[in-house]
Amino acid sequence: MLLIPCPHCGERAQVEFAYGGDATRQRPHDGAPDEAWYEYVYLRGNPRGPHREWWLHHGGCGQWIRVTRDTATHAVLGAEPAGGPPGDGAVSGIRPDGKGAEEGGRAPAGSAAAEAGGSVA
Amino acid sequence: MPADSKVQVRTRSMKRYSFLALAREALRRHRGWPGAWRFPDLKPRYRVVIVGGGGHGLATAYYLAKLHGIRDVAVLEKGWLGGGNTGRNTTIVRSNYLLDDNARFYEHSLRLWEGLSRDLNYNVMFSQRGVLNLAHSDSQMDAFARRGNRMRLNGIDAELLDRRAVARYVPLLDTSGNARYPVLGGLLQGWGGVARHDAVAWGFARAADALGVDIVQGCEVVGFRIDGGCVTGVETTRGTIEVERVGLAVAGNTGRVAGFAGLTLPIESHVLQAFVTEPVKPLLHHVVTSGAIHCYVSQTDKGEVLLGGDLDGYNSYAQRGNLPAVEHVAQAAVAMYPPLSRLRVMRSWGGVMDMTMDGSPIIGKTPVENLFIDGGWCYGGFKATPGSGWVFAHTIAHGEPHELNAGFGLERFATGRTLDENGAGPTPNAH
Repeated sequence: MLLIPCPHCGERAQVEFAYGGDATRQRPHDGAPDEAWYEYVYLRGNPRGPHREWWLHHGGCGQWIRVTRDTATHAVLGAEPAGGPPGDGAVSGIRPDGKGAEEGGRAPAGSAAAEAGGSVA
Repeated sequence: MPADSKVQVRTRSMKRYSFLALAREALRRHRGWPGAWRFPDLKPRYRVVIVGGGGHGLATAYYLAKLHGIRDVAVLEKGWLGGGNTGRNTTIVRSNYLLDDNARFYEHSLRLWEGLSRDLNYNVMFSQRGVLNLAHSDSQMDAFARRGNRMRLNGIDAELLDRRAVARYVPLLDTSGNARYPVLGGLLQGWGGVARHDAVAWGFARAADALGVDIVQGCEVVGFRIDGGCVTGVETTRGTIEVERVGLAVAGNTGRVAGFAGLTLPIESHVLQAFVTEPVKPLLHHVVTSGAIHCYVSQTDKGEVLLGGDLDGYNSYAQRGNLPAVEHVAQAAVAMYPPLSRLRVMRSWGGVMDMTMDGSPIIGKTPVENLFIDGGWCYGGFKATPGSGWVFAHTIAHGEPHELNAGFGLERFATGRTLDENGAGPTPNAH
């Protein structure tokens, strides 16, 4: 059973939450080119290791939170409330259709990522 | 890519398994059986390197050698042969798909399964005992009628059963009026069934090895050499290899390994758990699945009841899951098959599922020239073992996909031609 440290409610069992996937993606602005939308909708870093991801605390405060969890060990490394830029996690490299990664519409990397060292009580 | 002609790749005569061989060896106290495959050193150069020594990689190597005459091939496996998802699946073989590309591909694979034991001279224990999908609502019956008709139009067997027919087919199932999960009927593919999960890897390995393919275990790929957008070398923990073409068949690690070539893919890796109970007398003679209740069961030839359910739901490479999924499967299984409640679960395990953004596999070229990919199998790769090897060998040998895998290209996400059986959209854990 994963124990997820909800910033609002404290440490709770995973059955109170729903998983929302990769939290490092930035939704493109309305006028962004198709390539940016394609990347946002389809491409994922999918790391083996620490992963910033969304969880919804539907069985508690009902809020979305950003959790950092290791995908190889399942160790939960920290959690923070939703809101603010997604932080580093920009998708980069050659995409499946051969084009390079688009820079447009992405928040600056490395901002506001105040990761808690352990569970947030 | 031409067949090997000048390259001297030594093949060795495979000692055929047969009743005569068994009798002869019995008299010699079985001391004459050769090893099923060699443990060769890595050569500095190969024409083709297959990354991943599971069912798909080994099948690809076999068909490259057998059908395309390309034997200067190495299969690199970071762990032990068949130790990944090939060693962790729930053995189901079926082709009961709605979409034409999927149906035709999986049916081709199923037909290869039918001749596989003879072809490989290795008993893969393919048992066409029938795969039944349960319907729990009127709308599910409608959907199954639609899918069954699509299957029939593609030349695949399908039968729509009503509740009474399901009760006769699966006496163990609770089809009473009081059932927790009412059963209205089901869609049956009688030719579907199960096969031994590891035997198919061993069979392909032995046959490929006999044709000259080098299977190198304990050899992990850590990078690629790419010159001018074309792959020219593979960097491994046992040295660097010069290569003409590379095929990736690494299942849940597809994203990671493709990342060594600078690629980012529409894939999330998730954990799927499965369980076997203690062995009991035969009580379940078919594979029975319930998509709505997220529980599928069958009984192995050893008598164990094999159970599986839904993904845990979060990204994972851990090859193990958590207790909520265990409880979910156990609760569903006991509700549907009450006599199972007394059985003890003997083993549980997990695999790494490369879940794609439309739930369908990715087989074909990549933007890196001469680098080919066979991945994104979600939780359905086992049934595709011979089929994927067959089309992937064609793709690598010809540099272009076969008609059967033309629709599974990586570019389909950008062009909008996704193959979404469930209509769940770009949400990997919903497929």
